[in-house]
Amino acid sequence: MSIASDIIRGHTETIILSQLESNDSYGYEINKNIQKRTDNKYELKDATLYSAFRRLEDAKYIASYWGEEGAGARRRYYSITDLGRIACTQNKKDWEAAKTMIDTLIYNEEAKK
Amino acid sequence: MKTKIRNYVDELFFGKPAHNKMKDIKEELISNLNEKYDDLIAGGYNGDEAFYKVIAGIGDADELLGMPRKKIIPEPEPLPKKELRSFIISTLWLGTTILFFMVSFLLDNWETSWTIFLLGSIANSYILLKWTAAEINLPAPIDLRKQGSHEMRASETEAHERKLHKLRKKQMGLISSILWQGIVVIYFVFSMTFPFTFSFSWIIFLAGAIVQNYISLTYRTKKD
Repeated sequence: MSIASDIIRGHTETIILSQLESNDSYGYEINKNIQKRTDNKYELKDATLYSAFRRLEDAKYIASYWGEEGAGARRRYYSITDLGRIACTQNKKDWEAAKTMIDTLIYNEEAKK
Repeated sequence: MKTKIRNYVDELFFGKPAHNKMKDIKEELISNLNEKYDDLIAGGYNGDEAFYKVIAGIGDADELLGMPRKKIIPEPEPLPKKELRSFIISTLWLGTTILFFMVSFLLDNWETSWTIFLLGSIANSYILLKWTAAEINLPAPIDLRKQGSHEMRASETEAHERKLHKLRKKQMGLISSILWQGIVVIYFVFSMTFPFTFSFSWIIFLAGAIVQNYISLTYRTKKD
């Protein structure tokens, strides 16, 4: 499972962007969704998640704002920007292309036109 | 238990270089950890189990703070084991002795060939210098998972600082010894080859003293 984990981890940013496409969210909720969707088979470390948040925010793909909860333990919410939506769509296309190419290479099939 | 989580995060960030976003990261992390903790308790875990699951999910503290995990400056080679180090030094002196006899016999020169031993000594000092640099770059022996008090952590850092200070002094000493041995070699080889220069070739020792002062000055200002 560890090779798969590395591959998934490499796509952390796209995973986060696609979650934010449907609605704003925050760190723990995103991680919880990932766990649910993969049937508890995959869980991101907080460190991985937060460094991805930082990169996405630096690239202006997402924006953040603080929640209303008690001071000292407020939630940090993230929302996707227009630039982020474009990047997300592109990343999904790239992933499809990579998936197809690797499939043809490892299954010895003719390249699908 | 929420205070235990907050304390753990404070402990994790203790001693890290100051970061203008550190407060924000801490707050976001604590809020997420608290919620995860509540979910685990609701899911049937007891307090301790939930706590350990929560902190186990944090991952690498440096990555969390966005600090590069590898140094950008290339590190000097790691310190070789004790036996390997003694072996290297003995080989050096064996080689120097062999070289001495070879040169003396082949060139039939016994008056200046002894300077080869000075060269060997300079090589020895240089190797020790490299090893001291490697020792200085060894990671500090602070265990992040220790839930010790801040005072204990402070005294460990202090001891480490003292050790570093001693190593830097050793470095300075080695550089000085290389300088002076080098000057002696140059002085003798030069003077023996050009015997008429003996009356003023001692000036090189004055030059050495100037360089030595410059080195001490650079070391002292670097320390500050």
